[in-house]
Amino acid sequence: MDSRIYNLMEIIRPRVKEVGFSFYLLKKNKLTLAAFYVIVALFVLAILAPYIVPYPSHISDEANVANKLLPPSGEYLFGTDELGRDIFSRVIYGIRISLTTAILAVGLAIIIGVPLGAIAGTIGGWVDEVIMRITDIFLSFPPLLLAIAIVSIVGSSLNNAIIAIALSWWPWYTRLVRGQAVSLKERKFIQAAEAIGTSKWKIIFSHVVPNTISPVIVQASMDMGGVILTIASLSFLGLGAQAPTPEWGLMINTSRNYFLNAWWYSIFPGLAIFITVLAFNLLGDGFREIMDPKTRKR
Amino acid sequence: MISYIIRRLSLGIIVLLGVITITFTIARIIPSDPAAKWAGPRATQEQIQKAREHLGLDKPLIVQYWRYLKDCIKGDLGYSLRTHQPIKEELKAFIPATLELVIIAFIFATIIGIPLGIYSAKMKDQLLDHLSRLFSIGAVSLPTFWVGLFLQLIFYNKLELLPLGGQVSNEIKILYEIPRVTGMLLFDCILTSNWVVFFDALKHYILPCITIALYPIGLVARMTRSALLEVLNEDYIIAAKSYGLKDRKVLWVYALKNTLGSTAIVLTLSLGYTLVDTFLVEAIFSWPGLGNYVATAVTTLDYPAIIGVTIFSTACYVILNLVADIIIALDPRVRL
Amino acid sequence: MLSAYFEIRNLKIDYKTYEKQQNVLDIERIAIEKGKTYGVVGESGSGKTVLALAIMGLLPCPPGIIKSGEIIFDGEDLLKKNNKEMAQKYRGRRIAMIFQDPMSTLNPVFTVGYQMMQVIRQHQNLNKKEAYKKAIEMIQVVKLPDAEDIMKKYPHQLSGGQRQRIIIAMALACGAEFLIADEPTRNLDVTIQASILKLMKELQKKFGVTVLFIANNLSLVSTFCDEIAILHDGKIAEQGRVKDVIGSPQNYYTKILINSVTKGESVVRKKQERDEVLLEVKSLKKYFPVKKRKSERLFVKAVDDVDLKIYKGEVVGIVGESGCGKSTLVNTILNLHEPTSGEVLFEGKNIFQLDKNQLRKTRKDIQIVFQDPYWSLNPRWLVKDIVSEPIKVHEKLNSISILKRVEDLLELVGLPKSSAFKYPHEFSGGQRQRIAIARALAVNPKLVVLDEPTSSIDVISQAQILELLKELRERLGLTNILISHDLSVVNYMADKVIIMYLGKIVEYGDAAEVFKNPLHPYTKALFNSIPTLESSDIESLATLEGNVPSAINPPSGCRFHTRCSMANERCSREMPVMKEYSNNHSTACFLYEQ
Repeated sequence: MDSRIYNLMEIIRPRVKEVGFSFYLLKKNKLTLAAFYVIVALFVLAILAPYIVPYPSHISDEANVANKLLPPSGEYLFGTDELGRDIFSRVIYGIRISLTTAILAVGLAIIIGVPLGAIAGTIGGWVDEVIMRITDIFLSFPPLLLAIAIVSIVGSSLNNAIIAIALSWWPWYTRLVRGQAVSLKERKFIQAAEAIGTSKWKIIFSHVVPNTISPVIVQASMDMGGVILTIASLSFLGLGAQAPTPEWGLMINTSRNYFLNAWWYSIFPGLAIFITVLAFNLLGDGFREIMDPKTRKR
Repeated sequence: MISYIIRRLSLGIIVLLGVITITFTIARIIPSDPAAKWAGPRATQEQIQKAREHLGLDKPLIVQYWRYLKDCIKGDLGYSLRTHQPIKEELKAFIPATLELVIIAFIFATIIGIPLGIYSAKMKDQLLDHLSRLFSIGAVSLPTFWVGLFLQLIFYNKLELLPLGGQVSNEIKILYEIPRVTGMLLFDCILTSNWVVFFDALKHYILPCITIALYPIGLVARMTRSALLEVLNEDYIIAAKSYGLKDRKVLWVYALKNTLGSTAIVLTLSLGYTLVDTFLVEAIFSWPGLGNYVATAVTTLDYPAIIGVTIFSTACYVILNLVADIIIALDPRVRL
Repeated sequence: MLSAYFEIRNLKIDYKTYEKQQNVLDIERIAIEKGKTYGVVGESGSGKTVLALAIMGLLPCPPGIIKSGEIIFDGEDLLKKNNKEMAQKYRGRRIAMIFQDPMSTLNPVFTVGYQMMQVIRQHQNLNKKEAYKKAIEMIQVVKLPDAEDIMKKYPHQLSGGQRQRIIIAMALACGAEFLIADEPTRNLDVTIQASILKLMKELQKKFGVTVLFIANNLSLVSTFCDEIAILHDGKIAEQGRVKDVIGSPQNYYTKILINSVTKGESVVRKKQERDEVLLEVKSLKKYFPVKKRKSERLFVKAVDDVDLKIYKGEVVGIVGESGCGKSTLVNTILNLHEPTSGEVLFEGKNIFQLDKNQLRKTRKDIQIVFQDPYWSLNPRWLVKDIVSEPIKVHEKLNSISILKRVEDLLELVGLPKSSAFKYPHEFSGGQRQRIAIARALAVNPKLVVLDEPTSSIDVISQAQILELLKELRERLGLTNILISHDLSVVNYMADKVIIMYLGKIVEYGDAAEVFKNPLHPYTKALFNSIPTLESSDIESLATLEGNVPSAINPPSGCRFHTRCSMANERCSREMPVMKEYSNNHSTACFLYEQ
């Protein structure tokens, strides 16, 4: 085992260098770095939400009508809603809901989309044809519309919204991965594996899929923003989260009845959506640049 | 070329059949009974049975599918559960107002988004580029419905400059005759030279149009920029410069034509986004359009109406994509 | 100091990268007299394209930083000109550039004519009609037939050679007096390359142009140029008159470069005991269907009726230009696709009629080393996983013994054991090729196909890899099929050589014999079109008229008759068959019937 020690170092060193290089590129792009910090902060807030918000009980439908629709103050940073709940607490708690739902939706889309794309691209022929025509059909719905149709019929709930979004989002990953797989096939290591006698499934899942990871990560980070926006939109239509969940879109929907008298009610959840989505979009943009082989070439 | 168009068209038809199948599948997994809904809350068992027969729900699934397919092809989208009216007729009444919004937003996306993207690419990493990127990325990060509320808050509530919603003021509605030719109000006003109504309507259009147009402008600017930057990195651009062609010419003549395909795709995509954004925004602005219709259908669980709108919008979107594909086919690299 | 017509002095260019700011070009002096041809030889990464772009004022900065120096052209320092001045007065008008890849140099969405006219009208005050006439004239100058027709075509409708001619025409259209040619023949076949070079030489004389010729091929540059400079790692290793540099090289690197070209023929060419046939190919056909036009079904006849035998322990070289079917032949032998008809017998068994288990076993016995080690190794796998992939497929071993095997293999190909836990990108091209060789050898194959094993690695590694292959062959008694466009490699390695043209074998025999005494007109043209260090000038190279005909509708009779100077009426009618001309040397040509 003595000779194995140096092996460990050999494995770690280039990885560290790689990560260091990514950070270097990240640092060069100030905006991306800022977005990165914002997202880290959002995750921390999401995890700690139950412990740090001033009124943890206000995330339920507990009513405190005496304090309803109070403007922002030292006591209620973002004011209160029609049931007298602290909007600040609810907005912070909302991070948790938006992030988890978005991660679940994107993750589900990846789980469906990536294998299909890798299979279509690697095997080709009629399998490719069938898979890609099905993706075409799903992609010919205007964005969001399929999700609206599914949820409004299956029933409004956050879980259904996640499934509906994944169902309308997976084709993008299939397309992306298929394109990657097709160009990977040109790379000789796939042919080499074939010539060696490696089975098709092994080629798909150990040669093709690992090589599509970075474009998929880039795509996923760019999609996070869009998915958060979509969830908020569905909830705004009453199709996603249901009261009393402190979901931002739903909060804005409820606030419509009061917004001319209580501006704070709709402004703060909206700002929360904007900041979160913006941070993810900026990070996605930056990721794309960092992962781009053209940029990585030293 | 013609054979290519025929091929794309047949593919479009396959896609539409797929779309109809998917919507049929969705409609059949409804947990509640549409017949009961049709018959009303206090209906007897007999009435529900009658409704079921009337709606053809007693037939085998495959027969239902066949009938559904035939109806869709004929343009018959069934009856609304809420109003018991043919959905086709209802759509006809609601489409023009939405179409007008979508067209205006599309025009803005084209005349603001594309140049913004081009200049941003041209001035890469300069101040203008940073500002334009920040704007466009901000625009696609904003929740549309919230922008609508926000604008109302400022321009109606605080500044009292613009109306809250609707297409024309109530006084004008009473005092003047509202022209109805195509159903698109601004357009109809111009057609009938009805300027009083036109200017009143114009005021009502400002906020919804800004709200709707923001997203496509940002999207188009972003995608135009990245498509153009990609082309500008190509060897033939460096070669064109090496022949002494002016930078201006290289950009506007050489590079731009190469981005035609991706621009066509983005514009189509942005139209899709705009259409769906109207679903979120029209209710806020009390706009008598498709979006408002959908929002009502969603809250009253009027499935046939939702499915009808889905099929109709998807059909439009498929046709738009077809147009984009034909534009892309003008690129000689695409083998026909 | 009085300067030459074109002169570079103390040019230092840096590239800013992640880790550091790195010097990529440091040239003390290059001076070119008017009307002369100056060659720069360098491998990829030596900074030659940076040099070309810096002269044109088109070097992207950042990441490039021009630290110091002067580029003096006709008394003016080009580095002091701003972009506008360069565009108006120099680029295209006085200095023009020919890029390496003719496909990506022409804009794909405009017709050739449009692009030519744009360039012409940019510099000359002509109306559309006059510009059109001028463009036609230039197309004729570069000797392309049907100029009017070509004007209307898009770049992808032309062949590589035609595109490069158009690019030369565009470069000369506005009367440029100084031409920078950056590997102008890189992606072209050798016979086409010779004709392009001849054209360039002719036009250079006709228009009195000064040429800076940049390429990675020493023989090519030395044949084409009056003076050369050897560029290595951004610095000039050696420069001077061609004769001096080649005749008495001083620099270490120059010597290696020269050695790599003149490696000569195989010294240990053993007489084979020809009893055991390892692989036999019988009337093999591989047609690829192309799009139907109307009801007619069309095929690309990539390999058409090929017979060959490979004996145990032999190295057989397959030579031919792109599209001759050599890759298809090899892929079929590897069972990567089914043949249209014919048989491939490996150890007497038809590999297309094997059941799954037998096929697996055959796969184990036939391995391949691909051309580009960058593309042939999965970048996300550790070297140990790459090398052990065949072992895992074909043998049941535990991970410790697999690792042991991998380490042995790595040592066998001359890499340290510790390489096992690295990723491919941590190695140089030559080392990566060693990894690929280790993988091919992992399951003790009987036949190893070498697909251009040295063509995408640097010269120094090339020599070492060839040495290694030779050594392994002797040590392990391997049988090899070697595909290469580099005749010197084939000459060095192979016992037998096969020449292919348009899906058919035209000549076949012992390598020594074929190289010494080529028979088929195509073989002769092929051999003579390649510049060597001995070729005195470009004029002495053989060229072939016209393009390679389409493999969809190949010429009747002898496939080569459309381009053959010796062809007669019979050649277009009848298909010549393979005949043995002398001991172990066969060809398919009517000239040698008796």
